[in-house]
Amino acid sequence: MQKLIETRDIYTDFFTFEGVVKALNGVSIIVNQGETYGLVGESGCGKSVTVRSIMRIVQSPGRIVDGKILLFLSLEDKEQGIDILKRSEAYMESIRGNDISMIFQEASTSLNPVLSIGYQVAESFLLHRLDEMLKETIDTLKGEIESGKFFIAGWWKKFQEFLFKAELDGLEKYTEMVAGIDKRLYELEDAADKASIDERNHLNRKRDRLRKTVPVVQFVRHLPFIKHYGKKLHKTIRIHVVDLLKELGVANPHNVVDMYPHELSGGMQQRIVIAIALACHPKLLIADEPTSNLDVTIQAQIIDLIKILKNTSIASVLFITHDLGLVAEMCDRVTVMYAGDACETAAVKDLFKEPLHPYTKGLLRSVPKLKAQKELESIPGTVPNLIHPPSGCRFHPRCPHAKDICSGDKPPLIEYSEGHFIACYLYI
Amino acid sequence: MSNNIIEVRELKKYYPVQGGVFKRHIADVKAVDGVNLAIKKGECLGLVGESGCGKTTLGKTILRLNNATEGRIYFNEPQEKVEEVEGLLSSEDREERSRGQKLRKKIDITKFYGRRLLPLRQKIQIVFQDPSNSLNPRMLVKGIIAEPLITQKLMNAREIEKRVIELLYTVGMAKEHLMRYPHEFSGGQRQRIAIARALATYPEFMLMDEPTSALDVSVQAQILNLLQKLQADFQLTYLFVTHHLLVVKHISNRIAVMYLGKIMELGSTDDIFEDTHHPYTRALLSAIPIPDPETKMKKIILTGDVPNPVNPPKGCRFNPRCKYAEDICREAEPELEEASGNHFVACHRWKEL
Ligand SMILES: Nc1ncnc2c1ncn2[C@@H]1O[C@H](COP(=O)(O)OP(=O)(O)OP(=O)(O)O)[C@@H](O)[C@H]1O
Ligand SMILES: Nc1ncnc2c1ncn2[C@@H]1O[C@H](COP(=O)(O)OP(=O)(O)OP(=O)(O)O)[C@@H](O)[C@H]1O
Ligand code: SF4
Ligand SMILES: [Mg+2]
Ligand SMILES: [Mg+2]
Repeated sequence: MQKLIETRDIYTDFFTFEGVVKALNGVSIIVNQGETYGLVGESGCGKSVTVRSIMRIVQSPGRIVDGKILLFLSLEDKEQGIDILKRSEAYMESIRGNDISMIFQEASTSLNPVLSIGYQVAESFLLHRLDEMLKETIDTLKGEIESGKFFIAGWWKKFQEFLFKAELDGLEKYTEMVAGIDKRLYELEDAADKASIDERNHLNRKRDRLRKTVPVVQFVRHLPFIKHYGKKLHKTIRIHVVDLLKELGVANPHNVVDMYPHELSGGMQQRIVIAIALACHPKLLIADEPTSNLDVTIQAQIIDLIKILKNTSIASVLFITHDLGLVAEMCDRVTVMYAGDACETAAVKDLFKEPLHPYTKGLLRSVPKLKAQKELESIPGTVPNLIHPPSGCRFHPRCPHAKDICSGDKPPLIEYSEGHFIACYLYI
Repeated sequence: MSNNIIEVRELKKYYPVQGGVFKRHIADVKAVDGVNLAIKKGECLGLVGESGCGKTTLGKTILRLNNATEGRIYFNEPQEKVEEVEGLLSSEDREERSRGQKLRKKIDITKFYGRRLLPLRQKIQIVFQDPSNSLNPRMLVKGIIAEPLITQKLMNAREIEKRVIELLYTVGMAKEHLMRYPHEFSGGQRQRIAIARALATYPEFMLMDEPTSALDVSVQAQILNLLQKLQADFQLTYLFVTHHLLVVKHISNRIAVMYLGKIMELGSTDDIFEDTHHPYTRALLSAIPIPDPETKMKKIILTGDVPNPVNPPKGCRFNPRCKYAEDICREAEPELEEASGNHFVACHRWKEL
């Protein structure tokens, strides 16, 4: 199967006042093209930090201290992949949103409280799907001109059309130039001689300086009255925004676009964040607990929507959740994490049928059942302190089967049966 | 009969919608639209329902974080007194009604303001839906959890410190977390801090707004077991809002199902799960994801547009999406009626289904 993204032994640390929080302890996962990949584990085990590392947006004082994150976006770099930890920030910015987009865990904190909902979703269209939107606007304008009842307004419309076309041309040229620079940068990636390094720095700077808009449009945007031509584009986008919100089951989307985040319920805010991420049509969608505030019927609806989009515009989904029922329903493969370790990876069916790692077993036992039970089972003990994490297998202080060897070295990840990876001394 | 700790009568909460150039008031979002609910002392009442149906609003109004638009809320009042006031208020006679109003001012907490609310704030605690918004980002965890204890002025500094550490352990965290700021924690850890803070003052009534949705199942199990223990030991009462139906089934004694600002079905947990009457409850139960990739349940997918709380459908609020809807459903609004002992349902056709 074709890989899309791979992390190789990433270590991410937070350098806090009390000491170094070793949040990730060599996490390796592989998300394939067209796959829904689940990430589950104890709260605080580093799921969010893993995906933040992939996006290179770990909050300070955190830093990725070691490891490789390989991206296999285009056909040319199929074998080798691009190591994004070596790339410039400008490159990352062009990847975020366009190729990878993310639904953050706490919905209300990722929305801007002073901007309207419509504006925030529209921004996503403006930044990542501008060309489509421009084409559509030009088409509607053409239609209006052809139906041509108006005399003076007709001229105005033609002028608008001209401006939008100019914008589109500018955008296409820009994309082409950036692609050229990126290609050259990729060739220069491993070069060490001085000339290449200079060229690389030069190209990086040039890439940052490039402008998206052509001078005519820039000029027009400052003219009084005429600058309002842009409204047409916003109208087109608004239609898309309303449609998207409707698909996500938001009641009354026409009014909701003019509301502000504090006026929405928790679940509605969460759906807005989903809308912002879906609007980009990314290759990889990272969803960090996207449905934890939604009722089961709407949850089912959104999962269906993601499934449909997976066949059309999104390639893979990396899905973080605590709801094992959802994992069973949605994902193809799962990784179970514990305290910064990826301790078990398997196809969903295998994991639920034959969990191997003692932590996974405990997790599956703690799920509330449909049948009545007196007390829920849980895993005894508390979450380890990540400043002084337990040696060896980080689960050993809580593990019922721990042996002497478990507190020694970190257990290696081995392939126990086909496609079923496990890091535990019980299986060596 | 055990006493009701909270009694809600015909509660309404509308949010104004403003529009036009002058921000005129053009309509209302009817977030809670006539809810009657009684919560018994020492029970856990689960509240489930569609996202946006008004669960948080109902909770916040009961806590007086919102001002109710209409309706009455009684906290810890003897049953006879409540009945007397209610009787007077609904009487035909004008004089009796005004007498009722006077009595009501004394015991209805929607009429309490300022200092009269202070004692309530100690006895009622809340865990908010989104912990990142409810924890002060500039305060250390220690300060956050100690804050309600400090305002209460019952303990000295050393006792407070001891209690704070004890609380952290009860929610499965440790001492070394005391000197950190909320942003240094993961989502689930923040939620646990919020729970610890709410438990600090030994409240009588707790509103839990999705307290476990950010937690993994093992920690969730720990917290649920803890809540049940507290319930048994201190007669603590909960209103437990959640979308996770298996959790609600585990922890609640009774369940209320809400749809678009109204209670649709109310009954004991077994009644709701085994002897479901309302079509909406059925759709809800059918959509529970089961943690087993081999069993695929048949889901009832709700079709039709999601209703608009600004102007709810006429008749039964669920009728545009209900596959059993008939003419009567589109015309008359069903009342909450008793189907069997203490199992209430608001549907015209529950008998036939
Ligand atoms: N800014 C920070 N400073 C210090 N430590 C941090 C910071 N951010 C996260 N951590 C620590 O890193 C660990 C992993 O956090 P992360 O947010 O990835 O957990 P998670 O698996 O997403 O949990 P949850 O399911 O609760 O969201 C936690 O132990 C947390 O305390
Ligand atoms: N401050 C506000 N101003 C205007 N409308 C509001 C405000 N707060 C809530 N609403 C509206 O009231 C309705 C109910 O919101 P509420 O937060 O009570 O829902 P909820 O049942 O808690 O949903 P969820 O499960 O998604 O949290 C929603 O339609 C919401 O848009
Ligand atoms: S009253 Fe009618 S529309 Fe409403 S739930 Fe019952 S059958 Fe459906
Ligand atoms: Mg997280
Ligand atoms: Mg809510």
